[in-house]
Amino acid sequence: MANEHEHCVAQPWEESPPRVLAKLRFHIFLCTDGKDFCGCEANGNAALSGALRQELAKRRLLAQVKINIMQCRQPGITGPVFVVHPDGVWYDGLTAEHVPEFVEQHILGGQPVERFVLRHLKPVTAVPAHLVEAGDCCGDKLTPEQQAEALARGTATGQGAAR
Amino acid sequence: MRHVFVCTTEYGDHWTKTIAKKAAQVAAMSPEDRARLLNAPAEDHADGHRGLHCGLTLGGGIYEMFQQRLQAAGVDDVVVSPNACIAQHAYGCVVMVYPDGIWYRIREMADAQKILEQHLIGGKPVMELIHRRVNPPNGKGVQPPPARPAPAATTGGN
Repeated sequence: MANEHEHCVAQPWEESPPRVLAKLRFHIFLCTDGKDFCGCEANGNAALSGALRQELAKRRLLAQVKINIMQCRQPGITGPVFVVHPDGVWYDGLTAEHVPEFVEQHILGGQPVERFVLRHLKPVTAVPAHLVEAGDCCGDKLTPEQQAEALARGTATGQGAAR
Repeated sequence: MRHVFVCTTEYGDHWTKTIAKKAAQVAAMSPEDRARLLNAPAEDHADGHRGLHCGLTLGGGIYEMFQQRLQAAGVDDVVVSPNACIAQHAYGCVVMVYPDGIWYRIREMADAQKILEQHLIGGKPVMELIHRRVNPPNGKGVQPPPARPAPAATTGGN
């Protein structure tokens, strides 16, 4: 590829009517880095991520299946959690060894692997903890100093919990 | 249930692994420097990066606003997820709404409020803010690409 950052640069059609991502069939979001909120990190989401990407690359499906990461913040799941959009199918507990089955059945066949589908989805509208602590409410943005302080605190506790 | 993704790379306590360095940089900046960095056009940067990820500019504020307003409005069929970079740096922060398959481009906070009121609460997409569309699910899987022609080394042998 001539410019590997081509996708980051504004294109001539930028201001034209919205472009349909015609090739994209599945947009998968894997839950990562949620050690304070869910059990995904502890239950092998890194192995799942690697296995899924490798399997899709092996079958040359990466143009039609996009993988990104998110945080699920779902309470009471076993993990790892991921979502297949635009179908809106949530998976829970599908680990690296089930990836070939998942690709065969859902990505190629279009049928969800029913035994791993997460049924009891909870809406997550909890206010972020650092806002509650700061007593900030209703759209007032934190000052840079407050933000940096909250960030520093989050980093410290995160590292303490992880190792 | 509607699922909303807000780009929040390096926002708050969410992405703790990469935050410390950037947070220190931003905290050390003067307000003018911050504003100049945020408003720099994409072509000023070799690869289109604006220098800051969404979470340190607009994304974190959008995520907080969505959570607070949805909670206040009592909307219980929306999941808002912070997500990481989807490589749309040249366009700024992107909000994705599934299963509608709509990616919105956010230029300022008022855009996000419009999306919240019209789409997430009202159920009608905001057509003028749409950045990309994803085709609706067709119930089928993907078509595997045709096989590559065999490499010359194996076909040409013997």
